[in-house]
Amino acid sequence: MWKVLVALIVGLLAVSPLLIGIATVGPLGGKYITENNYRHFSPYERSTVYALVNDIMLYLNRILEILITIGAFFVFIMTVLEYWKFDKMYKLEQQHHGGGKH
Amino acid sequence: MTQLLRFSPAQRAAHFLVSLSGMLLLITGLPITFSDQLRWVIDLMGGSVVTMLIHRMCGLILAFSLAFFGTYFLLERITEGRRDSNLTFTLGFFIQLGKDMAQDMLWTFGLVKERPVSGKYDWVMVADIMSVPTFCLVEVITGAIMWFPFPLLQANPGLFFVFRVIHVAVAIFAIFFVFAHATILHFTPGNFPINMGIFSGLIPKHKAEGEFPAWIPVAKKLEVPEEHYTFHPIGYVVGAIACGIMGLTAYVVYLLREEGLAGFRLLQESGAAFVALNGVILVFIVYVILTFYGISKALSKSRA
Repeated sequence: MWKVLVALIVGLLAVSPLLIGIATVGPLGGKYITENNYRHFSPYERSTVYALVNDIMLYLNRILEILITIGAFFVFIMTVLEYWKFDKMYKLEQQHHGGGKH
Repeated sequence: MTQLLRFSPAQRAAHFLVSLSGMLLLITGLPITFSDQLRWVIDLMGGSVVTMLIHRMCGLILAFSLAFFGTYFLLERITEGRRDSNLTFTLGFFIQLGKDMAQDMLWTFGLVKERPVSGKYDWVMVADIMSVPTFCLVEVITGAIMWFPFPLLQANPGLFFVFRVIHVAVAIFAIFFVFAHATILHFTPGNFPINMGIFSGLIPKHKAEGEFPAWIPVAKKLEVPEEHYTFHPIGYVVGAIACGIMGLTAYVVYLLREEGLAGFRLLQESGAAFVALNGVILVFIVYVILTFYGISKALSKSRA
C-alpha cells in the first residue's frame, strides 16, 4: 500500500507543473498569449535567434530523416518476419498439442 | 488446465492506461501534422478545440501513468527483487538479447534447429519494455514544453520548432511501434483476434512452453479454465492489412525524407500516403475499441 501512496505522490508531483500551468497561463488563467514572445526582441537579436534555430533545425532534420527512415523500414520488416515466426510457432504448437485449448 | 500468472494487476493497469492514452494521442495528434490527409478527424470530433483538449488530457494521463507506474515498478523491484522476471540491466543481458534476436531470425528462416530459450521476457518484449517509457518520456517533455513554452523558451522562442520536430518524429515512429506490437502480439496465429494475456494476466502453460520455456519453473501456476481457441484464417487477412498499412506508412516516411522533412508536413499529394495515414487512424480506432473489449471481458470473467 505504501508503494501505491509513494507512486501516487510522485505521479501528482510530476503533473503538477502542467496543472499549475493550466490554472495560471492556460485558458483558465485567461492569459494564454503571454507577453514573452518575439516582439520583445530587437531586429538584430531576432535575426540572431532565428539563425541559431535554423542551424539547429538543419542538423536535427538531417539526423531525424535518417533515423526515422531506417527505423520505419526496420520495424516494418521485423514485423513481417515476426508474423512469419509466430505462424511457424503456432503450427509447431498445434502438432505437439493437437490444437488444444488457449 | 494450468495457466500461468504472466502480468500483475499493476502491469495490466499500466498497459491499459498507457496504450489507451497513447492511441488517443496519436488519433488526435497526427491530424495536426498531416492535416491535408486527416482533416476529417478534427472535423468529426467537433473541431481543433475539442481534439486539442482530448490531446492534452491524454497527455496528462500519459505523464501521470509514466510517473506513477515508473515509481511503483521501481519500488517493487527494490523491495521484492526480480521475482520471476529475467530483466536485468547488465551489459551481458543486452548482448544475450542481441544473440537471441539473431538466433530467432535464423530459426524463422529454418537455418538453426532451436529457438533461443527465453525467460519471462524475450528480446522483442524487452525492446517494448525499454522503448515505451523512453518514447513516452520524450513525448511528455516535448509536449509539455509546447503546451507551456514560456518562460522556458523566453531566450529563444524559435526553439519551439525544435521541440515540435522531435515530438512529431517520435510520434511517427510510435505509429510503427504500435502497429508492430499489436500485429505481432494480437493478430498472429495463436493470438488472433485478441491476446487476452495483457487483460486477464494469464497465459496457458502449453503456450508459454513454446514461447518462454525458461520462465515456466519460476512462474506462478493457477488452475483456471481455458477458453477453447481456434485460429480463423481471416487472421492472415487482418495481419496482411496491418503489415500493408505499415509498409505504406514506411513509404510516407520515405516521402517526408525526400522533402527534407519540411516540418514533417507532407507537401506533395500522394494517394498512397492518403491510404496509409487514413488506414493508420482507422486501425487505431479499432485498437481503442479492442482495448475496451479486452478489459471489460477480463473484468467480467474475474467477477464470475
